[in-house]
Amino acid sequence: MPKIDFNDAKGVVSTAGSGWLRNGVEISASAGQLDRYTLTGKITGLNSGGEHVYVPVPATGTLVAVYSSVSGDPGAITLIRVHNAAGSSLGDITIANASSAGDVDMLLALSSAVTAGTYLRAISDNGATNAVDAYITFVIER
Amino acid sequence: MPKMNVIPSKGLVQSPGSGFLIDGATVASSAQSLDQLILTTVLLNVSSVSETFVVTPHAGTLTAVYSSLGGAIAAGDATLTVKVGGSSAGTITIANVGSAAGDVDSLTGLSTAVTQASAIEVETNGGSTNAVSVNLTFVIER
Repeated sequence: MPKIDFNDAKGVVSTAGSGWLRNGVEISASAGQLDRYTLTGKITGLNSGGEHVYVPVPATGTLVAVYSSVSGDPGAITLIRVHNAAGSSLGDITIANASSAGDVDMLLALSSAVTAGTYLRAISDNGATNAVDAYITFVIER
Repeated sequence: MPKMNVIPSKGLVQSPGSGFLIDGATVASSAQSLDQLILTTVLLNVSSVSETFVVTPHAGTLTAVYSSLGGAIAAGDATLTVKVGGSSAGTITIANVGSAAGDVDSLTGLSTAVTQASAIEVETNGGSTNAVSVNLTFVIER
């Protein structure tokens, strides 16, 4: 099992072992991981009507996942709806009542094209009764 | 044109075709994309003279900044000044006429060096009215 090192001084070097390296340092990321980038935003006050965040998209790709983390118990079930720049809903993240600060919820297996120079939007359905916030992470694959 | 596939069990395998693969999965990103680092932050009120900062974890070149408006502004345009090391790298003008939540503006074609653990600043001149946020996305090439 060769180990492949793309080495500036030596070119492609194959030695015993496995994996691939850049100048002797192993790159453990998969192809999918290398193709990904993340964007973040914050929705302030999930209990306020229509609170949302718009995050600008710098590179065209495919939105594959969205994660949220709450700052505390929302007091009631709360939905975070994800929209693309065309206004289409890409799905909802459900934040359970009695969630604790830091609880993570997610929307996975997405396959929605996004374009550089547009935005991604996440908006609360105002279901919360407590003034807590949600931190949103979008995962985009180029 | 060979297809270059880095397979842990076999090393670097070339076969007819094209592309760069890791363990059979294509890496779609260009070298430039793989070199990119995406950072985000938010300016809480674009209509009030204020600033926000984001720290760069790697040295590189700031190549683009995108903004996305959280709601309509009025009375005047808002000008965002992007500063690196205290010097202006350029401005983004957010027009107030016809503005709406989600409006994306950008400053592209930059070639501004940033150093590791330094802050990029974005300052608004507060030229508009309406207390709305602006989300910002920065593209840095390593």
